[in-house]
Amino acid sequence: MIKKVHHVSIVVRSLEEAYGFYRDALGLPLHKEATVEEQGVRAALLTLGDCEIELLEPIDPQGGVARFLERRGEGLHHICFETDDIEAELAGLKERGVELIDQQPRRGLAGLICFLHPRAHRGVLVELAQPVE
Amino acid sequence: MARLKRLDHVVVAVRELEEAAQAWERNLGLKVERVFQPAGSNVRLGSLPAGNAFVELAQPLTPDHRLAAFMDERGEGVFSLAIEVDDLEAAVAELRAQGVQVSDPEPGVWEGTRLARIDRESSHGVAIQLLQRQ
Repeated sequence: MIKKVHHVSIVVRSLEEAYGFYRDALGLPLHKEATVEEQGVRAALLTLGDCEIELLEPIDPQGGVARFLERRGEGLHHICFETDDIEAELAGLKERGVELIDQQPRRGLAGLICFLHPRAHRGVLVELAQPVE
Repeated sequence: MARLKRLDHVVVAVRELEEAAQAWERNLGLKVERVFQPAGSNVRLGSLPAGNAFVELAQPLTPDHRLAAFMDERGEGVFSLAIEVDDLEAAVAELRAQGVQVSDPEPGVWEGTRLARIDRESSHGVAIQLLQRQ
């Protein structure tokens, strides 16, 4: 079951440049910053009420985020919804024949995560996340 | 600083609202709570509550609508973020003081709301509405 919006993700050229707007002008506190090698990004989470804004800066020119940036420029990338049982959620999605990018949950910045294919929601890339301590 | 309160909703541009809504409900269990066409507008909106915020499916009804122009360029997908503030005038003034391009406040499409739009140039390509609920 979907509990809430966990974060909305934005691709930017440079985290430092984007902090000028999202952290300094909008005043969103920086919660976490990390390099996620397997996604080819440096990622930052900034707190907005009870969810977060994620900024993604590509560090691997061959990665999906770098290709997104090259093709479309900076902008909104995906929506992540929080669930408390990602295994059950994935099993249900497979049963219903929903197109997935990840067949199994993996570790991401938001916990255990998986991505659904954008075709499943008419162009919207959806991520599911089960936070882990 | 603009003292933002919370994410209010995420706007998703769609060509056909009912088809899109079916996929969201079937896949994720997010159900349409309401579909309506704001008075005087050329857009149909559907709201799908998701706990702390809602997904707004937005279907333009004329080819010259800005959502239609967006989809002609990029296809269907996430279009903008609506972020709630307590005091819209103060938020706009504070952002302008920091050099952010923001439109003057105007009535929003959801009842009891007013909004101002932050220029994409200022926000790294993201259409953001600041929204105040009455």
